[in-house]
Amino acid sequence: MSNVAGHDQPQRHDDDGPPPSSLGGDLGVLAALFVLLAATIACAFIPMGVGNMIASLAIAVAKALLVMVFYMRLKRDAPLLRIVAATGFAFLIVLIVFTLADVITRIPLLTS
Amino acid sequence: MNSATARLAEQFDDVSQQREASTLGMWIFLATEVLFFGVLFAGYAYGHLLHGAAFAEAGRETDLVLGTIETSVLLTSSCLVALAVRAVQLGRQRGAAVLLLCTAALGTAFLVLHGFEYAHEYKEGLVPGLHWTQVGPSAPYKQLFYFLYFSITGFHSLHVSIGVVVLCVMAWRTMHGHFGPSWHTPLELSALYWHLVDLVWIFVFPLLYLLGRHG
Amino acid sequence: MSQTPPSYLQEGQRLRDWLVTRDHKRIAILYAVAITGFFILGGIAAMLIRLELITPRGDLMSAQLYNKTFTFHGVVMVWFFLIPSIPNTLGNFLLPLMIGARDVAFPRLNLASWYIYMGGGVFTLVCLVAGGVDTGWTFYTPFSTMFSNTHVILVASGVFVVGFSSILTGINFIATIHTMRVRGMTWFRLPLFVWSMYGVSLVMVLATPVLAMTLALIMLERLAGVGIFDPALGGDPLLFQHLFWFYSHPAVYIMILPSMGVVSELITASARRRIFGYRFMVYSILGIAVLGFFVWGHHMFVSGQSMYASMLFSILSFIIAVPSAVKVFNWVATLHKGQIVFDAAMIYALGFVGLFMLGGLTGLFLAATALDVSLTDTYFVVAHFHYIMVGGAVMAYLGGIHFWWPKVTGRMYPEIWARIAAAMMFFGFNLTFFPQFLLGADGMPRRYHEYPDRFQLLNVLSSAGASILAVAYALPLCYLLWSLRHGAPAPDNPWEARGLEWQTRSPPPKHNFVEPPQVDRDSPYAYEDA
Repeated sequence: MSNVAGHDQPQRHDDDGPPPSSLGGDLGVLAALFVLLAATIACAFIPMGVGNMIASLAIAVAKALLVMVFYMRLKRDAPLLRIVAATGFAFLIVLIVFTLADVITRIPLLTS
Repeated sequence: MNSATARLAEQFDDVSQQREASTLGMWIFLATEVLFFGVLFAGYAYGHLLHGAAFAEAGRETDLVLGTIETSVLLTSSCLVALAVRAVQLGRQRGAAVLLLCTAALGTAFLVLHGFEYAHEYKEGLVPGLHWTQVGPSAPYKQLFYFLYFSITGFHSLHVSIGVVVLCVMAWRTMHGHFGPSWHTPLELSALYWHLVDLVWIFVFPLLYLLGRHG
Repeated sequence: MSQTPPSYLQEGQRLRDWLVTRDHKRIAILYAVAITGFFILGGIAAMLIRLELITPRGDLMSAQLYNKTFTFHGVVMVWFFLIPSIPNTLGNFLLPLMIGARDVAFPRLNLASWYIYMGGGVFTLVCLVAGGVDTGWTFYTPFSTMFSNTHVILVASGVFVVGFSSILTGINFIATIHTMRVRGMTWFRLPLFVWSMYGVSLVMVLATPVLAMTLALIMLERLAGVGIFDPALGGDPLLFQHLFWFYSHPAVYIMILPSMGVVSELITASARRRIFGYRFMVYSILGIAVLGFFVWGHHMFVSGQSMYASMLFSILSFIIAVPSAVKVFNWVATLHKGQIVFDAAMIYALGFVGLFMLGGLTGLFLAATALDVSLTDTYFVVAHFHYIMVGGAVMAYLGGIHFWWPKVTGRMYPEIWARIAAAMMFFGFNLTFFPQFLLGADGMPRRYHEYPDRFQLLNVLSSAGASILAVAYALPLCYLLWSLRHGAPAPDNPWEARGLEWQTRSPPPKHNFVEPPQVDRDSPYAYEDA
């Protein structure tokens, strides 16, 4: 976004951020978060093997998205911010995946 | 108290540019926090992958009730701070200040509950380096879990504490009319920080409190 | 008929005005003074190392003192000199000017960055001197967590603090570039130096937090006696290396990307040619910044990392050579049919291209896992990274200091001395570090204060080169300082260069531009094509 250097334009006082959220919307998100919280606790008591971790993380991601998209207003704010948020998580995933790739593929040393 | 105008810093051309830059800066900072905490999650991933059974055993001994209450507290506080920003945007400074103080109170409650947890864990001899009394073949791997437990929750609680202070400052400023519908950027940024604190916990909760519950 | 405003140097000349300034140009100078001090200290450590290595016996210092000395050298040079060097001096000064802005997005944060840097830097320095650390700048576990009897926690916490200076700078630059470009300055009209500041900022904000937490984990493990790097708990010392190098490999791109940006400016201005392949230069900067995060395992080929992970990291390390090579080809292509004058800036720039190329090519040797088995932890590696960091980054830094000296200070430096120093630096550098490639290929290990007799000749040559290099570094310090008083006053655009910074006075007024600068719609390097 390019801007004029100098002050030859009348100064705008509005900060141009997203408009106010709706009360119902915010409370609805909270309700959804609690439903997901109940779900994740319930799932934890069902033996699903590796499915437990997958379910836990999936529900956590869902909750995180709710908070980011609605409470943190990613949906209604500048698109660049979504890229910033995604980038942080993407590089964390790189760290974890590449590190685990080493750990998982190690072959025990042959001992004579 | 609805006519708070922005203090336009001299490097910016207009308030809109100032908000755009400030919000971008805050989001980049939040991304750095994701990577900062992420290291601990990487350590957890490693430990869980290699010592899953011991981690599950260790996970059973965290306090699920307190953990659930803490999660509920933080989720609610996230909603309240979002409503506080909304209130300021609608010109309701007084209501906003109350909401902010409630958020700070919930944050404090979170810390108090954590304190109970820590005290309990100390009593049970589950604090690596300080008071570790577990024995058995899986005890070393459980110590790895609790090292991560205290590191993650410790750093997280530090961030909560900072957030509580920031929220109180914002409540004071809101009460004194610093913010209004046309400008409330510092409040927005503080709310974003608080949401990050909640976000981290959203991932911490299942990993530390829901592990091994079905055993 | 507006009053010409005073220059940024003239506004408020008490010490206090400097210490509470929000002016990015003054903050740049604050940084420059500090990093010069750190460079001198790190250089003294280097001299001690080279002195010890003149003889095969460990006669100058004990093994542990030697370990502390190279740790001092690494910590100071990497974190307190190289990483802040170009971004916090030239970057701070030039970024707003180059995009036509009045300052960076967050001036107070900028000043805070400097104070955090100074605080962490001085604290670490005190700890390094008062007993020091002998783990190497790499802090490998389990030595750093369990066996070293030195001030690991203190030094690590100092570095932890300085990391936040880096992060805040990165945040500031990204926000500035996104939101404060003057009208007409679209993304693909930005000078490559600005693109390099963007790239380096991306790396700073994504990598440095990982270092911070990794150092914290080392500190916690030392304090608690247990930790995730402890095999007795089922932890893994190699996990430290993964976390450490996830930062420290991108860190080397923090150190080289700004140099590449500087060199693009020097070559285009000196040869009076537009850059060849501007868009590819941009993509290469971004490509290096991103790919740099995928190659860290090449530091761990012999550490116990899995063979398959090593293969993956090896292939990726080969791939990352491509954008760097593209840049080298484009610099050379830019010179083709240019008016090449061997002024100081051009000597530095050409020196960079040649030395960076050698350093980069030897990186390919090291990226090949089979070769790395023999070459790792030898002087081959030491030579490789010094060719890039010193032959590359330091020469580009000095080239940039000279090129923009008139703009920053309003004075011209003595050109003859500048050329002599640059040439001496090139010669002294090669004499110091080329023998080290041979030593490493012949098997001399790094980080040892003594060595077998057969390595002595090359070591003596290397130390001789180091003394020439020391003189070559002292020269600019002398004549640049001299020029502050006695140098000819500089015109606004002594090099007749393109770029918005040359459209304002030398030195600029506090708010950079009296009238909004004119952006060239054609190209940032719209020199006459020869």
